Amino acid sequence: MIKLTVKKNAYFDSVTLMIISKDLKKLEGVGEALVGMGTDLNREIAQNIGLYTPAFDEVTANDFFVAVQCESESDADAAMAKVEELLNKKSESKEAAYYPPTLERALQVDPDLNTAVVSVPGKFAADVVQDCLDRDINVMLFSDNVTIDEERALKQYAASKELLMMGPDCGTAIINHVPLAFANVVKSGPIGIVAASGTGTQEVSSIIDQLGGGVSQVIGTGGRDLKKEIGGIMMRLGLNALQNDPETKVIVLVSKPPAKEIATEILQIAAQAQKPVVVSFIGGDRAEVESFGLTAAISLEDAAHKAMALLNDQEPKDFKGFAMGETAAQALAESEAAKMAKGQRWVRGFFTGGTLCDEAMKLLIGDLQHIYSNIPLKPEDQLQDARTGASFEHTFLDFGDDEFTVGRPHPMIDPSLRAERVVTDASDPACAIIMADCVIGYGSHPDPAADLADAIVKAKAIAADEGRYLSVVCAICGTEGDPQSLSKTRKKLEGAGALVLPSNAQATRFVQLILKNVGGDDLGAPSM
Amino acid sequence: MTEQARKICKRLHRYMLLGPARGRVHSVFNHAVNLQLPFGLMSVLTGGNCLRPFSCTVSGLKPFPQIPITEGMEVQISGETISIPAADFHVSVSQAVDYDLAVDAMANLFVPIDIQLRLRHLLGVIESHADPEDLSSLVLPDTKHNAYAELLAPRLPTLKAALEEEDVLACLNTAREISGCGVGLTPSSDDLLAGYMAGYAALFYAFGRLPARVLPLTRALAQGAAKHTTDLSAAFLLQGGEGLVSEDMIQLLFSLFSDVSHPTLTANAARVAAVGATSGNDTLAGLVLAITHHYGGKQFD
Repeated sequence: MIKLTVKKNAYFDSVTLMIISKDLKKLEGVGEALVGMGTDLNREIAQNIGLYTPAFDEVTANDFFVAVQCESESDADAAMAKVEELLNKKSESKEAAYYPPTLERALQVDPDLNTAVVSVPGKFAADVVQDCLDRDINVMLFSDNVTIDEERALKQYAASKELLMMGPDCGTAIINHVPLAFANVVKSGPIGIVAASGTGTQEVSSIIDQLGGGVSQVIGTGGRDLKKEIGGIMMRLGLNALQNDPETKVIVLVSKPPAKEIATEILQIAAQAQKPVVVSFIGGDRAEVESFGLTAAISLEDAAHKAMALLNDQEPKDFKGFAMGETAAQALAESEAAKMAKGQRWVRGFFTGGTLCDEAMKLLIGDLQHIYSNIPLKPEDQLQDARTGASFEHTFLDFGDDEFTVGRPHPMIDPSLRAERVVTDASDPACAIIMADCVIGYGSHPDPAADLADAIVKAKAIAADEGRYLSVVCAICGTEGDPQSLSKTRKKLEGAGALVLPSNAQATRFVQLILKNVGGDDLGAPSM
Repeated sequence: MTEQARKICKRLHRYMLLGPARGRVHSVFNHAVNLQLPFGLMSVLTGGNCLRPFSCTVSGLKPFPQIPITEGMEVQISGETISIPAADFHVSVSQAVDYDLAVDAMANLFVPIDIQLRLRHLLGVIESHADPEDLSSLVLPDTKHNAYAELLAPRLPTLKAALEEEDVLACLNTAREISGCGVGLTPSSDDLLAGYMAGYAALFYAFGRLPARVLPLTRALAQGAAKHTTDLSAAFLLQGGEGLVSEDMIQLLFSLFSDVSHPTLTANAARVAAVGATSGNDTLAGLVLAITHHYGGKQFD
């Protein structure tokens, strides 16, 4: 039977109509459903798909209609009840509590507000930030697509008023123990972090938490702050803030290697601090950092270990081992390599965190010579068509880079593209290892491990069906206190057959060990 | 209290200055209220919205139903103020910045050497926003048509031919065969047609053709379509027929017909694609179709 409901001269927004259309089709007993405005062509379509009834002749272009084909009268009634429920839900939402839509209105509600997180389309962001700074409000600017000229002007203005302007593209901060955007549930403590790297900061702060420490403040600067054009304005301000913060006893700086002159200036300021400073310029010049009497870290994990050592008045030593022990790691790597078939030789690193991808490549590049990537370390290793094309030899992808995020949420929110790639590369007979990060915490997907675990199971099955063994190595960035829970996340990944290492650096070193044990074959030796 | 509009469509501002006018509230949504006036439909939008033809934006407003503004209320235009007295709602546009939303106002449009690559970027955006209910299958290869696309696909060659022949009557006729099809208050095919008109106009302005040769055709398409769709969609189509597009669409057209970087192009396209449920993606599909149809008949390589 066909049931038609018409609402004369009724206007509902497109999103409501779409929701009704989709929900109706999911109802039991509903065969076909059409929801729309009663235009000539929509009525023609109703006829084409067998939903026409004579009552349609009375419907006009400005009438909203719902036509359903049901098995019984009761199914039809249920469908129409659902339509009413969805329409009523919409009108209830119009009555919802008042949320201040502007800064001005928000300040009327609470005049003492002093920090704003700005997340608006990039072209509007500078105006919004300027409004905040004019009102002496610190800013965390989550938006990207802000020009470098705008960034410099806003930061200069903020610095002149001693206000923070964290960003643009700043995804992580913890201010006065309040996590903002993508941040982890870490204990409060005496280590302060200033960082130009989102997941790099999450990795350092999470490991500090896992080592029993805590953080005082995490000040994000935005990824371009240490470029020559910006001159590290926020890094300097952040450093000064932490030097003057009585809660902070040790300072950690995290960034990709800055422009040479900027690095020198920042290191000079850090060297004058009255507190120990650990510098993690990921893949940067260690000797230069040490020439200023500062502590250089060789990895993000190492930065956390050294900060903890300095806090406890111990001598900071390079941490480049394995929590499981060297012997156990070596034995496990040999065992993984021994299961592989001839021809398996390449590692594929698929990351949702850009800094984690960058760190892994920097730790491996000395051995591998070439790692093809959408964020390559060398221009000649640029992977073309990273999103739609195939991986090539050793390939590492940052799924958070623009190419993968246009029109999509960041992979830490929606990791499905990465999961698809894990499965796709399992079909490559030369693929030996898949390495992946799993970033948990506020802002991230509620259960990123579930998606990844499913993909790992499928990937391993594909390889096994073709007589191969696929090694999957993961590292989780996060803490036990995070909503997703470190231990539950680890359990899911291990349940899927992944080897889960305690940090990105350890996972990378473990991949290195496996590759050293993978043999050559008739296709030639691995390029190590 | 009189609210201050921040931005206004230049054409609307000019019409408002012609003299007082009275009308009625046509429709009310959380972030937009549409007003029916003698010169056509105009909209007041809340601050976060992109400016569209015959609209102004006002920051700091509650959702319109909470003001409360309801359908049928009287509207008065006087000088530079829009008033809905029954809701004690007044907007002054005297301080608002004028935005010219006419495609022909865009200076220095040209067809860049990598136009095919730029179109592929647009297709990537369309693909990533695709929904089973939209019309993206009309431009995406190897995609199954839904009932709407199934109906429209065989009618598109007539649209292409009408414009190629520059036949005003054929434009009127073909538009009525296309409009009012699909989901939404502005049915998908109307959004497709709006994108198509914008793409067609921009392409030929980039080629150096004068508005006097382009506008009669887009007007005919809009007028043909307007009679066969909802009032609201008809109003938007007629504005499109006059060569007016939204602020985001202006940005997108400029980034398509210029040498700005591909990430900027895709970011601008993604903003257009994000409008409404399927409206944005349907508009993008129309834009791509128009350029594919009329750029020397060349298909994607």
